[in-house]
Amino acid sequence: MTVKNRVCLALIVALALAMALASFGAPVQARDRDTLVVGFAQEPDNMNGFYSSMAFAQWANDLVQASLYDFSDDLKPVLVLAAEVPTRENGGISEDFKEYTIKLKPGLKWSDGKPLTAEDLVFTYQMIKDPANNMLQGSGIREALEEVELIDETTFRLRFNAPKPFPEEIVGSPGLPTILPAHVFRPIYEKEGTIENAPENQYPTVFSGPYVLREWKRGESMSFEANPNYVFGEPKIKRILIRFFPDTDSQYAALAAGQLDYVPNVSEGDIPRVAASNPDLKIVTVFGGYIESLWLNLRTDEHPRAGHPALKDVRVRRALRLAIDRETITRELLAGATKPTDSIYAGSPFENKELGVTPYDPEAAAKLLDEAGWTLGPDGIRQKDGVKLEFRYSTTTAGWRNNIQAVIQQQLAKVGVSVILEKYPASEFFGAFVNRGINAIGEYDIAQYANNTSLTNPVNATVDEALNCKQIPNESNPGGQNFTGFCSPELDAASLITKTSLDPKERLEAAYKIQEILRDQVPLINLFPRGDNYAYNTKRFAGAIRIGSGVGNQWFDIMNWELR
Amino acid sequence: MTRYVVQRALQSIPLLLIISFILFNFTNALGDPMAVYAESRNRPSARDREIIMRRLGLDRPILEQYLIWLIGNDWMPPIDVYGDGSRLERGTRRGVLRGDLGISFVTRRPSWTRIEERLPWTLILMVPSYVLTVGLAIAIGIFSAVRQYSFWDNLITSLSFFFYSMPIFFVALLTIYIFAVQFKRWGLEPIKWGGTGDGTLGSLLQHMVLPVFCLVAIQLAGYVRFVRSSMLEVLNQDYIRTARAKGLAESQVVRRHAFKNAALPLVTLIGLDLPFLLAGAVVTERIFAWPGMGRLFIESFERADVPVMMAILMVLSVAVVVFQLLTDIVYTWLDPRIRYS
Repeated sequence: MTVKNRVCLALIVALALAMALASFGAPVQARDRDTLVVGFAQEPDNMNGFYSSMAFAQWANDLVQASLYDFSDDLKPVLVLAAEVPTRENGGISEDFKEYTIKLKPGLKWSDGKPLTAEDLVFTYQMIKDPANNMLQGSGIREALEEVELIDETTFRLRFNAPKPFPEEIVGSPGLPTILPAHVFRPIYEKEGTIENAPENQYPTVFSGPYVLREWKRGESMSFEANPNYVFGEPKIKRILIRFFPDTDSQYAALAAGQLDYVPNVSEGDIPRVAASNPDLKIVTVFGGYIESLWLNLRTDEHPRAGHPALKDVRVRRALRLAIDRETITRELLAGATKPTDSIYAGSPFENKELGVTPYDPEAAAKLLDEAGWTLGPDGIRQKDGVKLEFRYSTTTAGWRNNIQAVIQQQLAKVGVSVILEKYPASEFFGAFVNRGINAIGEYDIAQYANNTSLTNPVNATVDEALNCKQIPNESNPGGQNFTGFCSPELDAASLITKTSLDPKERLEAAYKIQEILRDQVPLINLFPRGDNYAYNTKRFAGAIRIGSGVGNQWFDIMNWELR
Repeated sequence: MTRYVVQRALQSIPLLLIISFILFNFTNALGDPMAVYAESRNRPSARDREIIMRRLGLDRPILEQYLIWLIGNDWMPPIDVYGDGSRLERGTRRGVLRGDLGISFVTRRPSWTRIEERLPWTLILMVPSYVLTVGLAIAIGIFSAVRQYSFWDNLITSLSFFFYSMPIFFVALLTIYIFAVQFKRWGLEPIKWGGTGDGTLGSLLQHMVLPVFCLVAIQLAGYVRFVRSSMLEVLNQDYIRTARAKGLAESQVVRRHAFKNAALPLVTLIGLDLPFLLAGAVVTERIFAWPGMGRLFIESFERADVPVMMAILMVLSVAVVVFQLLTDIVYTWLDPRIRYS
């Protein structure tokens, strides 16, 4: 046999082998009526809700652990394990909002058949209270909880050292991520003094939710089976397979090819192409509380780095907002999935509908800038006393954000404002002050990222932390979260009312006031509320499905989901 | 020989220490592990974030953090968890020198466990593609060299450069669109991809087809060119002419006289490449959702999970040192003229 013949033979054998491999083993995935195949972009880091702040971990957790009550897609409470939502009227909450008495439904069971009683809840709150457990979540409860008391098999009582006007933060799904099975965790806690390192956090075995975790193939998939002991009985969909697709393009390809039935994290900028990739796909957008914004650096020189001096003039800040055509951005880049807003409460029940939205008006912007003394220079860029109106505009490396950056750069150029675009990996952009994170030390003039608002109560985390006078970071306050340097005692006072007032009307008025102050003072330019976008294959579901909002539980209605 | 091996092993100790110090500084400069909480909906409170930083030692100077990574903190003064002395906690880390590669910041599981989970999958993907690449490269390279400037040589050269110049993510996404998405539209049986299959051998092999094809396609050209030029150099040597003059069959000349000599530089190349099989293929694994080491590294990178990144990099560094040594030993066996003393 000559060399030529051998090479030919080797090539033929290799080719034949490849073709053989490609053709055999056809029905690999069970594409049956019983298995829902879900695509996740990230793998959960922990299966104990108290030890994760990752959305994907929470979503996987919500499949296997039931809450006392959830929220539906229209923000109505949905009772799960609790017999009723506690209120002052039904006696669940004391007059001074310091005492909660919670009743569970009778006859609840864990997936292993053991009874789920108020004792499990008492144990869970005890674990939250004990700092030795080093939980990531539950700080609101931990800092105020004085005592938890078992009343009877289905009733327990919580006592706080301060009024707690928002029950969802205490017993609802946003505040209480998981209920721990006492019969599993108590022995570990008694032996080790902490449940932080319990193997159950990674490989849970006992569940209260609609599904049980059957197998976790690390880096690849998680498979779930229906829990016959679930409070509402066994779901119609018998199995759920979550597959991890770290690359969004390949995730969308799998969705287009029908390999995935449901994907919970389509980014706004990708909606048009995902919808176009397969006519059977339906995209559902549920508002999740995030509002994409441009944060302006108003810090003074005593902080590590001051922003551009022009930003201290409110007229310049207003001019920037007028000069950005947010309507075009949402229509062209985000497929009209959302609308511009000036409200930091946009999309929540506490939004001031009379606030109005600043229109796109470059002429008014130019006039304001002239008024402020920033006049057009010979190079087309505005200047004042030899200082150019040139901003450093930074954001993360997310592609859709970089597209928005480029469009805003063009729009601002039309009014003579120059912008230098900068992008950083999220771990650098959001780094802490001590690690010289870009935002924290003020290495920017304009920074684009999301702020977030609660949908169930008027306490706005952004206003409370990221715009508070006391939170401006510097060497003596390195943990400060107010990276804009904005300070308004009036705003802080209104924020305090939203947190502590026991009168819903007063709280709402304070929330309205906050929105007005921020509309007028412009420490940040709100671009648009961001949705949680879900895509599902209509060919696989028996009918339209209801998906919960990001604040509650996207699977709140899973008992009614059915495959065909 | 034994002395040489021992000497080389001893030399590698300071080398690895220096490498680890440099890498530790680099991985720590990549970002802030606490930054993942910034845009998270369930953001831990500022106080809880500070507690995490203290317990992980992230508030310490970088040199001290390196020291903890190297020799642990179980012998150090206890950690002041609250920053006011009211809660002291003894460190639990033993350090790399005592076999503790650290706990992943993200999952709170030992870094080594995470590597253990991924390493087999990476090898299952990388070893067959490497064997296929080198095997095909030798066959095609020899063929091209023997038939220099023939039609087939030109065709193979052009094709190999075509794939060589394509970025892997493009090849990978293209194959997915053709063999999975379009095949289905054309009514053909699409090739399964994404993950490692349902646990049966057949399904595993099928899920390997596309990633292995992509890896071979983009790597092949380099090796083919290498084998070809190395063969051409040898084929022009006097001893080849002598072999032919002796009347040996051309296949004998090519295989025994030419290839054996041309293979020496190839061994060096393979020796350099082998340790990186452990690193996996970052892009390919990511696109094909393959649970390998490359993906683990990228995922750790995205969340600034320093212990896992360091563990992967150190495993690779040790592998490079070991394979270098092995290559040198194989050399003496292949070429009796080489002696180490």
